[in-house]
Amino acid sequence: MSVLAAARPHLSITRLAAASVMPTGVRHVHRSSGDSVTVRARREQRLGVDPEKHMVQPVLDRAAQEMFFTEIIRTMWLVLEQMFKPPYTIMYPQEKGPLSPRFRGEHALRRYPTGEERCIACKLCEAICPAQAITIEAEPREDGSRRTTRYDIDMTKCIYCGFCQEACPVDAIVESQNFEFTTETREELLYNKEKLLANGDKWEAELARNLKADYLYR
Amino acid sequence: MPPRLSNPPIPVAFRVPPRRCIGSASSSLPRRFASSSSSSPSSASSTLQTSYISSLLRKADYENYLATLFTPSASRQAVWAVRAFNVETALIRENVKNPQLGVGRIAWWRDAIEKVYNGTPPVHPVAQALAQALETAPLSKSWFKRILSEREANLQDPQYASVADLEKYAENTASALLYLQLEALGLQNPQADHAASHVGKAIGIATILRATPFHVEERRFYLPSELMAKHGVAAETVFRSGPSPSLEEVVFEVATAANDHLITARSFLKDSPPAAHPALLSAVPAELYLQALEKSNFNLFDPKLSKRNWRLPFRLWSAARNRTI
Repeated sequence: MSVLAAARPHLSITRLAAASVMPTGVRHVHRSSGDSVTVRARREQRLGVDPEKHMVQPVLDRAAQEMFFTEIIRTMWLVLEQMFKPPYTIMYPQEKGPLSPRFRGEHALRRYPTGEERCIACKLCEAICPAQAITIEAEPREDGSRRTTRYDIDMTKCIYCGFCQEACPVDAIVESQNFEFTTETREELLYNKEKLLANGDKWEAELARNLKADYLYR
Repeated sequence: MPPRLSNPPIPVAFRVPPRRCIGSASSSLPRRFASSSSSSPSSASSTLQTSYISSLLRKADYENYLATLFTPSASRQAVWAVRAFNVETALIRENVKNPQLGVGRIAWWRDAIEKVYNGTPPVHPVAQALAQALETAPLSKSWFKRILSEREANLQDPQYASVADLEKYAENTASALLYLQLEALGLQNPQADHAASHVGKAIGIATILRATPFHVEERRFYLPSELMAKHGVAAETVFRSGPSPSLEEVVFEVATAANDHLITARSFLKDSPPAAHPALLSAVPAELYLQALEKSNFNLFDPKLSKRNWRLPFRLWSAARNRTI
């Protein structure tokens, strides 16, 4: 290779020179140099920017003005506004906040308006309960109807998912709006049928209102 | 500390005697406080049924309750039992978040229907009223089964592909209900069945249209996807931005299908016996809704559409008087 190049050095140089004189080659060289010029110029311009020049004031002066002065005034204005607004605080045991009609609280067993209990011991709620908090024992009555002899809910196990009231085909077990059922002992949270029926009697008006449907959607 | 439950108080519900309705079969019964020990089960259960069922219909299905008041009092109990069955099964989807729970309730109703036909209805007022209705009216079990299986399919929230699918849904729910009502009236007439089929389709489609704003709140949508594609509107757009001119086009086509069924039903009405007319009166609320929809330019989300129509009682009365729908 080197032998060949050495043998005809002039030839190769003239060829290169001719190539650089050719119009296409000229244009190519010119364009690439122009690009690099603009890039370089931009870079220099960027490097030449001094961020400190944007700062008209010294930092401490700015901080003093913005933080200590206007902030104080703005805060005082906020306080003044609040003086003319009603308080947000609810006096809890006397006043209560709003509750959704879908709120799921303490359980209750409902009755029909005649006083007959709704539950027919189908055990769908017991089967669906993910926490296995419901225990049902049933036997037929003397009139042939199937009723529960035992309906227990362990309120310490319950996770208030509402599946029991969704599974119930007769709307017997429901979760009422009541969330104030704290007790002193754990045993009081093991609800039996009497307690659940008493809850149903206590909350029946609200339960009926929450289950209201205006119009059939299907 | 023992639970304080030894003496449950007398519930408020006991002190209110059940309201009776005009001409109900049990209106001659004396009012009494119900208690499980003293009252005999049959009288307690029959008052239970009438009061429970009439209040259920009045509350959940007021317009059709008004329409059923025009049935002769001999068969009104049976018609109410059938309509109450419809209310109980139609409300299942709205009462469950998870379709699997709904499947359980549908299965319970399927069992209950079996037991009703075996003569041992479960202690549910609607099931017992159905058992009582069976003593006088020859209701076919197949219609109940058809309603239940269609409702079970509907639990999965399908968007119907075409108007024909929507009509099939309406046929299996609303029309099947009307066939049961005709049977409760003691009729076996092909012309009346034809009319009931078309009226039912119109009612079913109108119900879906009317419920769409409610369904959209829960991200469900049932209007035919073919029409939606034709007019270039996606269900997601409806969920996000509600009414749009292209949705109005879709609604117009669906509502036209319902209206066509009403017109076809009127053509069958001339040849069907006059005794069948009370069952077909349910077409009047659907027709009023379609007219209101037309007036609001097929915009489903118009707030005027959700108001109760004050002309409805008069329209029902005049329709019952002139035997038109």
